[in-house]
Amino acid sequence: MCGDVGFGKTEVALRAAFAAVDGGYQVAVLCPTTLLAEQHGQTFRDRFSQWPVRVGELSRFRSARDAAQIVEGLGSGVIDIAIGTHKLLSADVRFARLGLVIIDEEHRFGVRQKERLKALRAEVDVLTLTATPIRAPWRCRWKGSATFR
Amino acid sequence: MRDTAAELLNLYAIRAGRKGHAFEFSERDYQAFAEGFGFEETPDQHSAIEAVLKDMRAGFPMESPGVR
Repeated sequence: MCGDVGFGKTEVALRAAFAAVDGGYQVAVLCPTTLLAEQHGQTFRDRFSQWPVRVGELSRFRSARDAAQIVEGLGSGVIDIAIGTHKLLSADVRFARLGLVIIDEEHRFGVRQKERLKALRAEVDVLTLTATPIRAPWRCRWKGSATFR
Repeated sequence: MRDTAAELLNLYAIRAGRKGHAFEFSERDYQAFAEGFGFEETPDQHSAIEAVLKDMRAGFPMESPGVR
């Protein structure tokens, strides 16, 4: 991850995730690589360790049994935050009450995943985190749908 | 060639028609969670967080394109 020490986009993601989960919704954190998913998984588990929040990871590092359990937990609503790679976008992954999708480095996802993300955008809140080493160590941007207000 | 403009229009129409989630979360819980950060937020970070939370409290689907 690219960014200044102590000034992370991850913290923005954590706060948003907390607000969503505290509000009763599930959160999906999409990472372009397994390594990033592992890193975020660790961070999220640490920060939520004092809270009754269940964090599950879905990436190819996980065994098939673990993965099946997480998919089931997302469907039943037992798992609050899912962190993973494009596997989270698989057709067999269903969420009980998905409210927020956080996408890390969206430009690194493939065309097919982008199609799925496009569909998701119509239904849930989407927070995109992008590191742009040229313009700034990192930028995290949002935009309200001003056009619709 | 895909008609991107038509796709976007369709997406925006769907989004406009939806209420989206108005996240209602406990301010006290949130403050407690924020304290777990262990660092002082930088001004940029603080405003980013506030803007995201504001959008989340509003009842329309939030869009957040990254800087391209």
